[in-house]
This record gives sequence, structure tokens and C-alpha cells, in this order.
Amino acid sequence: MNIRRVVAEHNKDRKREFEETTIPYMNSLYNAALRMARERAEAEGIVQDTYLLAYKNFNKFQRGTNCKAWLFKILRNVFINRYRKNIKSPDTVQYEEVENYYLYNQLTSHQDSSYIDFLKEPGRLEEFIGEDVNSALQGLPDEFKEVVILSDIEGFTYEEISHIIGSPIGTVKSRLNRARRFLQKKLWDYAVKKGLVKR
Amino acid sequence: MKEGKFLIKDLILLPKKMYYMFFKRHAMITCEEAAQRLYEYLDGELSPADYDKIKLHLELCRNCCQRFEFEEILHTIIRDKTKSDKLPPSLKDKILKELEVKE
Ligand SMILES: [Zn+2]
Repeated sequence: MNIRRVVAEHNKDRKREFEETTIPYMNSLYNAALRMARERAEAEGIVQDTYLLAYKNFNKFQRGTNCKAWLFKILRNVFINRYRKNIKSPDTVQYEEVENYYLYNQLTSHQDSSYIDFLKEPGRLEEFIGEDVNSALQGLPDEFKEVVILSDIEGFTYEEISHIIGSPIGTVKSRLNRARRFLQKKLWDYAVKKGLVKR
Repeated sequence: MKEGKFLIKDLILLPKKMYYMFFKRHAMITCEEAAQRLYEYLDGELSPADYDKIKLHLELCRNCCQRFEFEEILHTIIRDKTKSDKLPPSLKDKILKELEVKE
């Protein structure tokens, strides 16, 4: 048997294993990239780079560990390097603090008292804010947007998110809390702009 | 969703002293603490003991209960509405071809 053939066979197996392990997550990676980069061409470039980098480093991936989280960690690095920007730590940037239950409080203090019960009926709240959820998410600062994407869209646990973004779980918790309150404020602002509510 | 260990109707049967001891042990979280843990509750990230504490608080506190109910509906909508765009089929081909070259 000639050595070149052995090497070729080995590479083929490795490539097949890589594809079987990683291709199922391509859609998720593309979606996250699209939300972070906003443009299709950019998102495609990010996903391509992610796969090339992942392939190059596939020997460092431990079989049986969380491949999706591993890929998202790479994607995040590609994103950061591509734009040469840091996803800032919100602890170092001043954002306005939004109170707990922001949307609920706005709705109960500015509307008739029965309005909140009306909104709790099936489908009502969705009619009220459903259309604006994606634009509201799009409008969040990167550091908040990414944790919402990882948790709400991709369903990662706090521990997995902590691994992906390289911050402690406590930071993940507080960032998610702030991100979601921020999102509620944006949803309220949309509703006001559309004239759906009295201010 | 799992059931809390205690139901409010069981508590009513307790003698007064035990009733007090029970609350001291299990129910002493404030509305503020409940609010702090709202998202851990919705994300299923609480330990069983903490989950029970929140659950009990919600059974006893109408204000928090109404807010949590609303937040739960909102949380579900946000999850549903942010679901995915389709992957462009050409992207997968492109990536597979690039890996071919790398081989
Ligand atoms: Zn309360």
C-alpha cells in the first residue's frame, strides 16, 4: 500500500467526520451571523470563515463534547476579528437602566386597568408586539443582542453561554436580565410610535 | 412545568405555630428577590429548591404572580418570533467545495 493513499484515506475520513458533526449547525450559525452582521453577504462570509477555521482546528475538538457551542465560540471570534471590534462589556459602557417588568408597568400605568387582562388573552399580546420583536432585537447593542440570540433563539444554557462568550455565569445572568428589559423598552417605544398605546 | 412540593390548601390545615415556621423556612423571599430571578425561572435555570421558593411566592403574592404570567407570555412570543431564516442553499455547497480544496 502506498503511503499517499493511506494519507488520502485518512483525510477523507476526517473530512467526512467533520461534515457529519458540523453541517447540522450551519443554519443556526448563519442565522446568528445574519443577526449580528445584518447583511447576507457578510453573514455568509462569517459562516464560511467559521467552517474553515473549525476544520483547521478540528483535531482540537473533543469528540462527544458540545459541538454546537464549540462552533458558536469560533463564530464569535470570527465576527470580532472581522470587524476588529470588541463586543464591549456592558459593565464598562453606560447604558440606561431599565426597570424590572418594564412593559407590564408601562401598560398598567398608562392604559385602562382592564387592558393588561385583555392582552393576556391568547394571541393578543402577539398581535400587539409580535411584528416588532425582530426589529427590537436588531436594535440592541451587540453585547446584549448576542446573549439573547444564544439563549432565546439557540436555546443554550447559561453555562454554555458562559463558555461561548468567555464570561462567568453571573455575568451571563445579569447581561440577559438587562438585555431583556432593554428589549421591552424598545417594544414599548415601537408601540408608542405606532400609536397603539397612550403615553 | 413541575408541581411545587406544597399546595396552599395544605398550609391552611397547619396549626398556627407550624404555619409560621413553614413560612420562615420556605416563603421568605421578597418581591424584589422574585423579580431578580424572573428570567432564571423562565429559562429553567433554577435549582429545585429555588424553584419551589419562587413558585410558593407566586402562589402567595398576587402582584408578582400577575407580572410573572405576563412575562411568561412575552418570553414565549419573543422565542417564537425570532425563529430562523432559511440557509441559502448555495452557501452549503460553497463551504463543502472549500473544504474539498483544503483536503
Ligand atoms: Zn411578590
